[in-house]
This record gives sequence, structure tokens and C-alpha cells, in this order.
Amino acid sequence: MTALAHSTQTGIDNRKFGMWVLIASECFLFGTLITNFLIHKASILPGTPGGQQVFDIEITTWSTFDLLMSSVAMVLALDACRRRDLFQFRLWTAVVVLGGLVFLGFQYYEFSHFLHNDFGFTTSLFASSFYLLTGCHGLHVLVGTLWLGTIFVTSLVRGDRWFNADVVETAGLYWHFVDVVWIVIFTVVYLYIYL
Amino acid sequence: MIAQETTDPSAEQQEQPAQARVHHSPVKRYWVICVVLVVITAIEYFIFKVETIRGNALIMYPVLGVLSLVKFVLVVGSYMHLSDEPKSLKWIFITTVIFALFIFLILFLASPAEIGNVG
Repeated sequence: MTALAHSTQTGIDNRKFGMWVLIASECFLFGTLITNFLIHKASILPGTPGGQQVFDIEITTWSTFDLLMSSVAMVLALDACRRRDLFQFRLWTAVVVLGGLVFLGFQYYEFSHFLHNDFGFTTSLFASSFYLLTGCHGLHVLVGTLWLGTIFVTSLVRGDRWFNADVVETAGLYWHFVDVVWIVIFTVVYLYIYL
Repeated sequence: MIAQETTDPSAEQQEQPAQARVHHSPVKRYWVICVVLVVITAIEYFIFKVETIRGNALIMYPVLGVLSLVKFVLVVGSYMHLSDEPKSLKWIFITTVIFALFIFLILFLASPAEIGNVG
């Protein structure tokens, strides 16, 4: 019965399939938040700053670069896991975690800069929808960083006794999805705001 | 002579590792895609920095949209390995994205036009 419970008619590992279903539902979550942002893009109260006044595209471009690099590190970590190369696996997983932490650091700096410029969560509908979208994405980055950090620590503690490519692939799918969402946010929120 | 060449086991052994390297080492492909993603991001940034283009919605919307879509497809197809997955999984993801886009388009178009000026 247990074997039957773990079998799958799709030919895909159940955890991986579950992650794809989660990703599909997350598309709706982020799609809703992005649509909400677009609807309220021009809802700026007189005398309050808009995106053009506070956004720093250089910082955001570096954030994008950082997430792209962490995505490459993630596929390299998965490849090392499949080859059972413990050193490479630890190295690339550590790079992914570091990339996540750097992204969160950029976001902390960005939000602090905005607050100093009187661009808070309740400043306008535009500001609220912006913080809701980017904050929700930041929360996903935090979850991914903690998840991959746990995998990294587990590999340190258990060494090569622990090698589960399905677990790493599932975590990797989540991480790449977070990267994909940022690709859309970078264009729709930060670059389109000047139009 | 020809028969000897085709049945020579040493020649086959020499060929096999080379073929294996091509099929089983995706690392090079990952780095190539990484370079493409970084170059696209740099292009987006430089397009944005050109002031004459920045204010032109007719150029900015489609160009940045297409570049973003290329990045999206590269990450989902290669890094998330969707291109290697069974058709059923591909269709679950693709139909979800299309359905979601359709709903958001309706939501966006149905929202009051004056909302932008309400504050």
C-alpha cells in the first residue's frame, strides 16, 4: 500500500509534481498583485513621491543580476548533487544562499531609502500596491533562502550520506520561480513606471 | 578497409566518451544561458537609460516586454527543465499561465479608468 501511495501515474516524483502545482497557483497570486499594481500605478496623492522620484534603477539592476547568478548556482548545485560531488554541491548551494541574502540586503536598503523619502506603505495606493507586491516577493526569497540554507546545513552535518536530488530539484524549482517573478517585476514595476 | 574502420572497437570507444560528454554535461549550456540572461538585463538597462527611448511607449512596451519574455522562457525552459518534462506537466503550466493572463487582462480592463486619478 505504501509503495502504491508513492507511485505516480504522471511519471514525475510526487514532491516535484506538487511543487509545479504550487508554482501554478503562485502564478495567480503574483499575477493578482502585479495587476493590482498596474491598476493603481497612477494613484499618487498630490505632494507625495511617485516611482520616478524614488526608484533607483541601478540598485534594482544589481538585484536582478544577483538573482540571475543565484539561479545559475542553483542548477549547478543540482548538477553536482546528481553527480554526488559533495564539495561542488556545498559550494554552489552556499552561493545560492548568499545570493538570497544579498538580494534581501538590497531590498532592505531600498525600502529604508524609500522611507527616508516619505514613501511609506500608507503614502498612497501606488505605494501600498508596490510594497505589497515587492514585499510578498521578498518574503518568498526569504523562505527560499531558509529552505536552501537548511539543505546546506544538512549536507554539512550528514555529508555524502545525504544526497537527494529530488529534494534539491524541488527546492530549485521554487528558487527559479522566485527568479522568474522578479524578471517580470523588474520590467513591469521598475522599467514601465517611466512610461 | 572500410569494413575494418566501421567495426574497429577502439574507434567506437574513442567516439563514445565524446558523445557522452555532449549529452550528459549541461553545465556549459547553463553558463551560456546565464550569459544570455545577463546580456538581456544589460540591454534592458541601457535601453532604459536612453532618454529618447525611455519616454516612447510604442518602443518601450514591446521591446522590454519581448526581452522579459525571452528571459522568462529561458529560465523556465532550461533552468526549471520544463522543456525536458512530460507533455502533461508542460500543459499544466502553460494553460495555467495563459488562463491567469486572460483573467488579469479582464480584471485590468474592467477596472475604472479614473482610478489612476483618485489617489
